[in-house]
Amino acid sequence: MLDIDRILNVLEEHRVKYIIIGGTAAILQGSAHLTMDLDICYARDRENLASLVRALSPFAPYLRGAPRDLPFIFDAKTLENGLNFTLSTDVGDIDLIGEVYGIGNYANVLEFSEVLEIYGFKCYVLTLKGLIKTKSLLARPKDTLILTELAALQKMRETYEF
Amino acid sequence: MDTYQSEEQDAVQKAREEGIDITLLYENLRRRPTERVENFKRWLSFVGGLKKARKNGSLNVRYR
Repeated sequence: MLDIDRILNVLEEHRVKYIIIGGTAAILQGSAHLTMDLDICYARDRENLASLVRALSPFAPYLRGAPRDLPFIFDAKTLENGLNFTLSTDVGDIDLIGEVYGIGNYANVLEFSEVLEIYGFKCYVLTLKGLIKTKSLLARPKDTLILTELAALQKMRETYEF
Repeated sequence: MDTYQSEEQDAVQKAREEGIDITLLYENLRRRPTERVENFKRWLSFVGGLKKARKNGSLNVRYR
């Protein structure tokens, strides 16, 4: 099962530059949808890639859906040579996203993020505006389903004080 | 009703018409982010339990 607090703990401990996006960001913004994984957008500078590898390596990450005997080395070079990685780990499924569709890389996504306190950590989370932007452009059936809810949440947050 | 109120009602009304439970969203917004994650984890645990039960054959569902 997805162990979010443990994952956040190691990411913070290793000072990884990341932004929570996708379904978990939607939940953090008030959505009633369920998701089974944690999507994060990560900064692709060398220092951050090394930090990310140090943080997640103890959880034995491997490519989700790939045969267990398929060679996969989770290191900075692998991350540098790719962009988006869908991983299974001992603490749940984690997607590492280098570029968010319709928004861009870590620096671009940061502009559509806000800081939320989760388990005592101050984490960057994609805003409702950012979620709506990327999901409108993706326009997959699952995105269309959640868009109406996100728009309602945005209006409710603008209208009422929580 | 001014345009802003009209727009607000449109988005929420549309969601309601599409079957979204607005009361759930309202309650979620009242919670702190950590509470939202904790709530979500409880659901994940429940779903995980169901999956395990189905795998073990201990979940019997009868359809009428």
